[in-house]
Amino acid sequence: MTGRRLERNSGDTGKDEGFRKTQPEKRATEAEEAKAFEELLGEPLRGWDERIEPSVPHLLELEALVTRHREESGRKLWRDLFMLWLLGILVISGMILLYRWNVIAFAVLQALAVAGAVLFLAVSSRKNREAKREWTT
Amino acid sequence: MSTNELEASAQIRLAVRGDTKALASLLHDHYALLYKYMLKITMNKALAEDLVQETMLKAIERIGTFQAKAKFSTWLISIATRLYMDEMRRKGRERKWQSDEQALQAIRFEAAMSREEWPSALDALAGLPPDVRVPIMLKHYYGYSYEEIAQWLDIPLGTVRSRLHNGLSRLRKELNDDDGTQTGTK
Amino acid sequence: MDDVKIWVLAAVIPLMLCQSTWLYTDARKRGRYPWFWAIWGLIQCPMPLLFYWLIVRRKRR
Repeated sequence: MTGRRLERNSGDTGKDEGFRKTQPEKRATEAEEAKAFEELLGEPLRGWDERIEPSVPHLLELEALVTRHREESGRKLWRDLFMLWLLGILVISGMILLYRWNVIAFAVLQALAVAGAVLFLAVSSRKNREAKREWTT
Repeated sequence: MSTNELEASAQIRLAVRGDTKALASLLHDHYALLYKYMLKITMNKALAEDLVQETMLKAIERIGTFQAKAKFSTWLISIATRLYMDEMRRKGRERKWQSDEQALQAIRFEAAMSREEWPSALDALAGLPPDVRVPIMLKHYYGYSYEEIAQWLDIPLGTVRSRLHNGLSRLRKELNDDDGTQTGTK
Repeated sequence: MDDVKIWVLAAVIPLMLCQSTWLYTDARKRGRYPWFWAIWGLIQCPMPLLFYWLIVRRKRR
C-alpha cells in the first residue's frame, strides 16, 4: 500500500512537503493556505456566488419528480428481479442436473466458477485503479 | 434548537421514512446551494444542470440510507462531488477540455452581457484541473474537512494535502505574476 | 433416501435464489456489478457472500 502512495503522488512536483510534517506544522500550512485562498479568490468567488441565479424548480415539480422516479425505479427493479429469478431457476436446475449426472464435472464447474469470479474481480479492480490514475494526472 | 432547525430535522426524518412531500421540500430548499456549488466546480452551465438533476435522482434513490444526524446539504454535496468525479473519469481527455473551454467562454460571455465583472482569479480557478479545483473549493470555500474530501474523492489524505498545496501555489504564481497586467487565458 | 434428496432440492433452490437476490439488490444499491454477484450467487454458496462481504462491505465507500 505504501508503495502505491509513494509512486502515485502525481500532485507532487519537486517539493517533498507532504510527508513527515508535525501537527503544528500542518496546522500552520493549513492556516497559510486558507489565507492565500481568501486573498486570491475569496472576493471573486463570493461575488460570483451572489450573482448566480439558479432556476429552482417548483415544489410541485419536485414532488412529481420524486414520485415518478420512485415508480420507475421500483418497476425496473422488479423487472430485473423477475429476469434474475427466471435465469436463476434455469441455472440452479442445471447445476442440480449436472450434480446428479456427474459429480466430478459438477465439482470442476464449481472450482472454475470461483476461479472465474476471482479473475473478474481482479481485472475489474485493476481497471478501476488505472482509470483513476489516468485521469488524476 | 431554533424552530427552524426543529422543523428541518423533523422533515428529514419524514423524508428518510419515505414521505414524498418532505423529500421534495428538502430538495427544493437545497437546490440553489447545490446548483451554485456545481456551477463553481464544473465551470460549465449545461454540465452543472445535468449533474444537479442526477444528484437529485440519486438522492431520491438513497434517501433511505441517509443518517438523520448528518447534514442534508453535506450529503447532497458528497453525492454531487462523486458524480462529477465519475463524469470526469469517464470522458476522454480530448473531448473534455474542448467542451470545457466553450462552457467557460459561455459563462464569461454571459457575465459580459450583464455588465458584470469576471475577475481573472476565476479564470485561474477554471484553469486548474478538476481534481485540484474540487478539493480547493471544498476545503477553503465550503469548509469541509480533509477526511471528508479524501472520502468523496476516494484518494488518500496525503494526496488531498498535496493537491491543495500545489493548487494554491499554482494559483499564487499565476495571479501574482498577472498583477497589473490583464492577460487572457493560458 | 429419495425423500431426503427431495427435501434437499426443495431447500437449495430458494436458498440460492435468496442469496442471489440479496447480492443483486445490495450490489445494485451500491453500484457494484450487480449482475456479476447475482449470477455467481446462483452457482455456489457461501463463497460469493464471503467475497462480497470482504470486497464490498468491509471497505466503507
